[in-house]
Amino acid sequence: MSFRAQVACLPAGRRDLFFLIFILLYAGIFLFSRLNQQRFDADLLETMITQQGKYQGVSADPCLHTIAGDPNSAGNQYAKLRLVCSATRDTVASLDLRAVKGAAWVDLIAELAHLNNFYQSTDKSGLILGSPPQIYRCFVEETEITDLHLPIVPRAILNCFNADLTSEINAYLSSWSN
Amino acid sequence: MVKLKYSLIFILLGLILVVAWSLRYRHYDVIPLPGESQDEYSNSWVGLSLIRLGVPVSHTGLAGYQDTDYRYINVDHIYQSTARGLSLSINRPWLDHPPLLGLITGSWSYLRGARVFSDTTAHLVRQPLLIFSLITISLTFWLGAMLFGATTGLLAALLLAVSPIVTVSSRMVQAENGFIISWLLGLIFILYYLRSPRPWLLYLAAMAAAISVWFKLPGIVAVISITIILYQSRHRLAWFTWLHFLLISTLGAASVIFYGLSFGSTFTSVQLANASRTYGLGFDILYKLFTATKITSDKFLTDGLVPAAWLAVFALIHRLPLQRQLQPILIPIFSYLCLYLYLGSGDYGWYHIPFFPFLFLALARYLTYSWSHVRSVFTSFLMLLLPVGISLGKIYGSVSQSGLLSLWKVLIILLSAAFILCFCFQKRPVWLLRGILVAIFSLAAYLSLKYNLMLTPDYWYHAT
Repeated sequence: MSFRAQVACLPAGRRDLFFLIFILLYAGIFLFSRLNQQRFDADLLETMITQQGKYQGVSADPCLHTIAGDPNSAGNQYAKLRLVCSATRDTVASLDLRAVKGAAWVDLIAELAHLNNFYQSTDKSGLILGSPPQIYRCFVEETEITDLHLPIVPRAILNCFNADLTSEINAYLSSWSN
Repeated sequence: MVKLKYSLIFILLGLILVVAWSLRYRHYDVIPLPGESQDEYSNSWVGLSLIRLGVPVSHTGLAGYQDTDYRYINVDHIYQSTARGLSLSINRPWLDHPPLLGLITGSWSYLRGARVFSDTTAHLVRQPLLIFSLITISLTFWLGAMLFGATTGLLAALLLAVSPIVTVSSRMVQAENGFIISWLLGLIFILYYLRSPRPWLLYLAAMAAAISVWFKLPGIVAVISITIILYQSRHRLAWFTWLHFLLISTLGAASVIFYGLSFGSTFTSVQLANASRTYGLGFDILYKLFTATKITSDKFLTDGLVPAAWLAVFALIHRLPLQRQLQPILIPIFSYLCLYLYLGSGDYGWYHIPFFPFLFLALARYLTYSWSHVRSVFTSFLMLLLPVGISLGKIYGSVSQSGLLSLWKVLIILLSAAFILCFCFQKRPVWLLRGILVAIFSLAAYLSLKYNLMLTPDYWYHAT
């Protein structure tokens, strides 16, 4: 049945009103949505994505949580981060580099701090993590990364040790020299 | 007397709703585990971003978007549990589905103080769905009572209330839990219209059907099924009634296109990408539909009430005198089955949600039919053995031949023996057959309830 015939099924007196209602509905939805889009604020969106939820407690211990699983969908665009907080506690995370905002090692650490909600900063003494603040020393293979603003090497593993763990650091370095 | 009858019906319905609420509220924020279906967050983020930014922003798995922004959003600590380390692909504007469910859960979250994406925890966003579930049960009762009487309505409501698969899937922020409400409402309005053709009832039905599409595009099944029901009744109504309904509801549903088009060309490209999704149901689609049901990507929950209800559907189809009366149940089931088979992007459990009210109405109808036609009690008995057996297997399966299991086995054997004995009599004892029917139904309902109570976070974590 043609559209004309379908329309003809309606009571004749109401036909115009009927279509007017739908045209107004469509126009109303379209215009409301267009006007509503004017409120968009990129900074607010960034806040909504990055800000921690009020139900997420701040963790004092950077090794409290582990990121379960690997970002397989990232292909080669990933890097691993291993934090050794004490002789008995460590954590490993594989992060998708496409989701790390920034290209430096410090950005990788910042993303993990954001995910696991612990304090992190860098200053002259190096990387500072957790609460109370502890200084960490970081290595990629046997090379110590003293400047964490250097670019991330995809697929590499950044090992960061609590600077007090001298014996663990030495054991790690000796594993490379062997 | 009539007043007493109505009071009793409402008290029973109230009790069923209390049971349903208790079962749904128990562990609602941890079963399914938060993040097992990221659609739950996705939907809620759409609503929250529409409220705060005027633009839908959310996570998507679809192609068709241009500038994907990969992010980690650790809501509910999903990166410590279910997210498998995968970053989320965030898109703006998010147009995978219409925004109505997102607006509901997003508004609820906003009113409860959520302002950023990490605030929309499962604890918060699943709360409106608990209410939705009670509305669905009430509407199923209403539809059943209209079609077959209050007893059938109450039985269907009870089955929906205690079915473990319904309990778990009805908590999830999935659009199917939304459009089933407007679909049932549309059907109820149209049944009233068929009793007394007042135009405003037709308009309300058309509006309800159109709203279904604002939850998810497959909500168009409401328009299709109600149009077919009206077409079947065209001899009793003005001939153009079904066309009138189709025109109004389709034009109403089409409004969602104007929402999408207001965001430019992304809408078209995303819908084209949506249309070219992999057909993921596979060759064992019917087996999956009738037996094990996937709740999330890797969690299954087998509920014997579902296959029993499918058997009831097929049994009812063969009862020719019932067919006309059953059309408002069978037409929705087969309309949605066609859509499910056609769209078929995956065998996720939430795609089954719209079947449940109609399936349980069919099962309830078959049981009440058996009550008055004792020849059918045998079929009902066999049907109900399915949920009894499956629930017993789930509850006591890990305890080899425990005393309790033996007790249940003896009870089932006694019931079966009593049942077979009935057929030895020249004149079958109707009271005994009915007694057995009540006993096996009570057993099925009780064991489903018990199965529900077994669903703890620990059980769920290890469930496969």
